[in-house]
Amino acid sequence: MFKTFRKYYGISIVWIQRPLNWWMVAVLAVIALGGPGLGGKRYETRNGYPEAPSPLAKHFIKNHKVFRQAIDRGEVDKTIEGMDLSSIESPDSGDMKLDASNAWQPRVLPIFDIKKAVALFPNLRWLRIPSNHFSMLQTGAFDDLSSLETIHIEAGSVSDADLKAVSRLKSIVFLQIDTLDLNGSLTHLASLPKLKTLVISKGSFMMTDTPRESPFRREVLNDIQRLKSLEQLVLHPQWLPGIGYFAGSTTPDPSCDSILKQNAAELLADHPSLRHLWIGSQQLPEERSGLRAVAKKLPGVNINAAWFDLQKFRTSNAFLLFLGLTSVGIGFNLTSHFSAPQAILVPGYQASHQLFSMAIFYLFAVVASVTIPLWTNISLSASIAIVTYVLGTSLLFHYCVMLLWQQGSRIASRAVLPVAAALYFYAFLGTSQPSWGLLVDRFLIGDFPIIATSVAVTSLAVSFYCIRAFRNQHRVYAQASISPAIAVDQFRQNGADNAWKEKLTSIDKKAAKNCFAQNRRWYKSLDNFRSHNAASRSCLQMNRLWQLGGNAFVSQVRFGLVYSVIVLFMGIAYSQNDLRDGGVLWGVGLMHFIVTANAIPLVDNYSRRKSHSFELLLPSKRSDFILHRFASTFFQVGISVLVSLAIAMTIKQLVFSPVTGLLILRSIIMSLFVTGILTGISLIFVIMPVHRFNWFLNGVISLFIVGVGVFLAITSVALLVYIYFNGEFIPQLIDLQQAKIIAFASHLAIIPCTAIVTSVVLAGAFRLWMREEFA
Amino acid sequence: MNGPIIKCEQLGKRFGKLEVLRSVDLTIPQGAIVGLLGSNGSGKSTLIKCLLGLLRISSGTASVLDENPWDLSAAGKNRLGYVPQVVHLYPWMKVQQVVDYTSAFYERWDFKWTLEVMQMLEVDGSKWIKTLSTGQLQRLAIILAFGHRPDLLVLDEPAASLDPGGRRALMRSLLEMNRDQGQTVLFSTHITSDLERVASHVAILGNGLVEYFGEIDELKESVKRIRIQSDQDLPTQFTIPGILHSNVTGSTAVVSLAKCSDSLISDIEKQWSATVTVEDLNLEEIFLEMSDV
Repeated sequence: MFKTFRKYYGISIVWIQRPLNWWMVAVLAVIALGGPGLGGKRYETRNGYPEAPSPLAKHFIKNHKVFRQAIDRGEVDKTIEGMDLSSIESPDSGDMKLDASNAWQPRVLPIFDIKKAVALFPNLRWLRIPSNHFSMLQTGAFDDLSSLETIHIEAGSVSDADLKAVSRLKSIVFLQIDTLDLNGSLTHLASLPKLKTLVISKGSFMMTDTPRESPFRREVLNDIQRLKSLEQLVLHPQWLPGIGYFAGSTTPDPSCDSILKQNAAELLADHPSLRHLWIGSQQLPEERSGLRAVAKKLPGVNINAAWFDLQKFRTSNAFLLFLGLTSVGIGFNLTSHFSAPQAILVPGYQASHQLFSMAIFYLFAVVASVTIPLWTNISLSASIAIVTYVLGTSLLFHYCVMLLWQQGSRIASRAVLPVAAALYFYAFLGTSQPSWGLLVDRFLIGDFPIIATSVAVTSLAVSFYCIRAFRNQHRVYAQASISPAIAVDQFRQNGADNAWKEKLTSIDKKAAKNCFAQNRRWYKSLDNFRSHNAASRSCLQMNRLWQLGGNAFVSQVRFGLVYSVIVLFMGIAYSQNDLRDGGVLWGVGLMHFIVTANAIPLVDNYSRRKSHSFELLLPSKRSDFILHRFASTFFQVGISVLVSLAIAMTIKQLVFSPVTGLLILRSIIMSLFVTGILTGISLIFVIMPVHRFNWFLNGVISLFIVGVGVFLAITSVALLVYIYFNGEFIPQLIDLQQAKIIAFASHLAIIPCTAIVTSVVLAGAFRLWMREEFA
Repeated sequence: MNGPIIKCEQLGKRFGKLEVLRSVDLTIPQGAIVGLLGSNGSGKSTLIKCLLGLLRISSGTASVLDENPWDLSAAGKNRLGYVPQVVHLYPWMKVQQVVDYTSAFYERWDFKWTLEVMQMLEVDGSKWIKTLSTGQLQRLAIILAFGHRPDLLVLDEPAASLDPGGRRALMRSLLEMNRDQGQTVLFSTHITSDLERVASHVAILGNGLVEYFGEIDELKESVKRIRIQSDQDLPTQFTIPGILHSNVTGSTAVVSLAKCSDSLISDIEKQWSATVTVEDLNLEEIFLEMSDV
């Protein structure tokens, strides 16, 4: 016992005294103090409740052209399951018209056409009716839709007759009413046997000071009490802190947060079936205490706010940054502990250090997981998922850096840091994908237990693997540090033989031909030298053949880990509707697993330049070596781009419309060009600062340029692919400007244009390398 | 354990196509102090790393303390001490802290003995690691490897950075441990005088294999240099069984022999009507003759 205590005491002393850890603590302290303040005091708010699950895009009509074509064809289409009437106005400038104020407005389709069209889609189960088509409800246009499950209506004013019309739609499960004036009784809805979810929201309507029949008044809540099948209720008014009054009225507006919560606590207390209630806001302390009061009165009901504070979102990001840095700190400590022979030869060394690090890792995970629910009111399982995900991805990132380190690429591992800073800057502070805060946000909307469990299990497995993988660090390092030296030696020996042949090139053509053949044999022998085991002959490992003295293990681990995790995330995202709801998990996973890991081979070019110098001094053509470097980068990037393309195609096939042969062909061609551009850009950024500045500036600027350059290159490629696919992928994007971009990017002429750009970039990069590299 | 403490048969290690160790056969008995000699790049460090499981062997077999070196158990590691060529320690800690920290991992750590070695090697426990010179770091590494009184001590060029005093102290402690406990020592070195002082056996590594392994006295007894003064001119391609190196000038020849015996001397005298003088060689001269440098 005393022995064990001494051992762990010793380890903790090693950790505590380490200056790196003091720096880490200092950074964490700064974040802890200043982190929540990042982004300033903003009170932007958003919906905090789940939307009705919509059908897949391929079964959905949101596009004016598709809608018009369907009407023109006049054939019944049973595959269409969803229709958004607010999006089927014309986006084309040809169909625009000037309104009274002389502004261009989309042409509104005549009601007759819509009524006729709806009849053509008998299997509609999701419908959104905007205010300009709201009058159709009373005409009975939707009464025959026996599969209709979700209806979302928007109206400045909803009358009793409208509610009666809704009550005729017996198959409704989810009903959302966006209005400021509910002039009718919800008791009509009691006749809907399947109604499970009711959302009453102010929607996109602006607040008015004119007295109206508030949809949040006591009578309405009383009526809700009579909806016996209702399980989920959302009461989402305008954010009104404190008590407000309509002009000339002495009665407080029932939409006021405190009033609404008091009324709900009183009137919904005995609801027979209610399980979940999203109500009001939780931005201010009194609003949070109001929520707690409602929860007390409604003991069997899960209570959440319908509004969420963006400030909270930003605090989450800062908190997760804190966790990410902690994880990286653990990784750094492991790197130093396991890089010496004692890691292998001192008894119990690895096991003790791993246990100690895992204890710290999981201690942080537990503390953070318990802490997050205290200020975000998300469930514990969701909190565990978020925390383990952030810690796991940070550890994975550090592990990738460590692999570079092991193959002697210390410069590369340092260059990765600005890349990481650029990539993760948005992850910590941004408000859209791939922000980590989105994970918190996602779970603020709902519990999603399957997602939470899967994410937690995957992340824990990845982190466990990463920590375990450090144990053989010394062995890998020893092996890898010797191999490149031998590779260079082999190169030198072959090069010396080749030099004799090289001299003959100026004598006669036959000798020159022989020399060329000798060169070919030389490269072949180099390839054979590096492919001494069966695994390295596989297509995936071909990139290693061009890695002069590189380590196949790096590629194996990177590809294996990254893509297995991506496939897993994709599966989870698809099965849990994440892709349909904006793909938060997918987006975050994509960012942290694909982009981060694939930035590493690009940065690796930077470090290879040093070893390249030895090879360039050999009596052989410099251009050949540079071509090899280009080919190597192109191949590595190409694999990543093509795998990403395959994943994108799969998503398209599953979620949107079928993939055609032409699209695949075009995509592959485009991907090759994109690969070429990315290769060129990254190699330009690598070579640019050489010989331009003194050693200090050269180092700092090159690190910065490589970091930012690779980030920009990856972002450009991502944008290119994104825009290229937009025409097929995101039919709901009907913004005029976007439509123009889509039309432009989808045009066939974009392919030859991209080819020209690719050639220019690659030729420019090659020329720059020829001119600058060790010139 | 009565068998050999280190045994390897046909051990090979290659990096890609380059074979560093071809076929190493080596059996080190318990209680031996073995000096590993070899020119630069002959594979001494690689052999040591293979024997300690720091590198995976490519072919053949090896056993250390009756275990596979790649999967050494905690019990095996408790009986093993290693002084690496390059010492990695924590610069932010003090010497005594590192000693205490390391001692906690071992089942039996002799604090009294550690203190003695520290005094012998003149290492100050209150010093920060970052302030130590390369030689002082090497001394500390030796202390850390000695502290648990291992049954097998492996040292990779331990005296390379030590001053004469440090080397003397190291050799003395090696001899003391060997005398008191019958400890086995394998150490690689280029300083043959040290080796001559303490080693009971010598292994000479070259061309990827062990070219000679045996007791040091036996080697010195066997390898000799002879001077031949004949009445007639000797042939340029002068050959004798077991010849290592020869230099013929007219009727005089200086020849190094791997196995020199009285009968061989008398045969030479008879065959060439010559006078033969036999010279003893020190270990450095033997190594140079054997490695054909």
